[in-house]
Amino acid sequence: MEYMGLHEIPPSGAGKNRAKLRKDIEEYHIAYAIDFDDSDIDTFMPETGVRGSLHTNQFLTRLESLGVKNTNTREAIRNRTVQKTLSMSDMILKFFFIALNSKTDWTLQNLPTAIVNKNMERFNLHLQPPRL
Amino acid sequence: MNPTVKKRIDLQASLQQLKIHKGSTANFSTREDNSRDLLGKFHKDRSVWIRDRRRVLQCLSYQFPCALQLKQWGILKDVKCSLCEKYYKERNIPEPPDSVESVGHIQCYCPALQLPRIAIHHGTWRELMFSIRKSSNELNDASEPRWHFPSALSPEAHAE
Repeated sequence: MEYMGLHEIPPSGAGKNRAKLRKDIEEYHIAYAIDFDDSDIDTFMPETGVRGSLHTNQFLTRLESLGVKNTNTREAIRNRTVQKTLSMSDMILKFFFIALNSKTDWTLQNLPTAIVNKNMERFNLHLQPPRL
Repeated sequence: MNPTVKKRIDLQASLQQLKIHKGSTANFSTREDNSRDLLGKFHKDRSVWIRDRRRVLQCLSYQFPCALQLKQWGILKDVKCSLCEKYYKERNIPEPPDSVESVGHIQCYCPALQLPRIAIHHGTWRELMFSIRKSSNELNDASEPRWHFPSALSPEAHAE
């Protein structure tokens, strides 16, 4: 867990679940009619460290494997993720209407920065340069 | 009446009512594995903005005014995504024939909203990482409870 970089080092326990992940990714690709490529596992692996359906216990189990041992904390993280995801769905629907009444280039270039900045400020997070 | 008793009666009444209805919202609400518990918690959470809760309700009850819905209500004749049309026209790319403007299309597939979607994904992802960092007691190789967040990669690397 030294560096949780996307596409860098898989999270704790990811290796053990490789077969399961492979199956999940294959199912995902079949469901969305995407050509499956074996290298996708490595790309997906870091993300699937805690990803999975929020309504199943899998999400909570993966949080536990990442060192979150307290049950209430795990539940709180899950609820907060749901809250955030659903709140964001409101945002994207609003942006749709903004984009309809403006240039699409503006939506493509400026809105993402606005969203990222808003998220970063709220949680006092700042982008860090990758560790070399 | 005791608030707990009242709440239980309300819950039972709503469950009874649900059986009577056959619409698409009732179908969704009765569907298995639809995360109703999580949705319930979301709606009960007072820290969530009321407009966010309303938007989710609007989507669940098929009331969001997108072209698909407006056609069902008899207001529009065409279900094509107007943003896709604009997007492809600006780039002189032939438009795919199946771009129907539905809530799912807007949230997950509309090419014009690709970058906002990626930004939102990263925002949610970072918040999740932040929560894990705060709560995790796992140690790194140097035996420190320290986490490092991924830095932003190029938009090309994250294209959908």
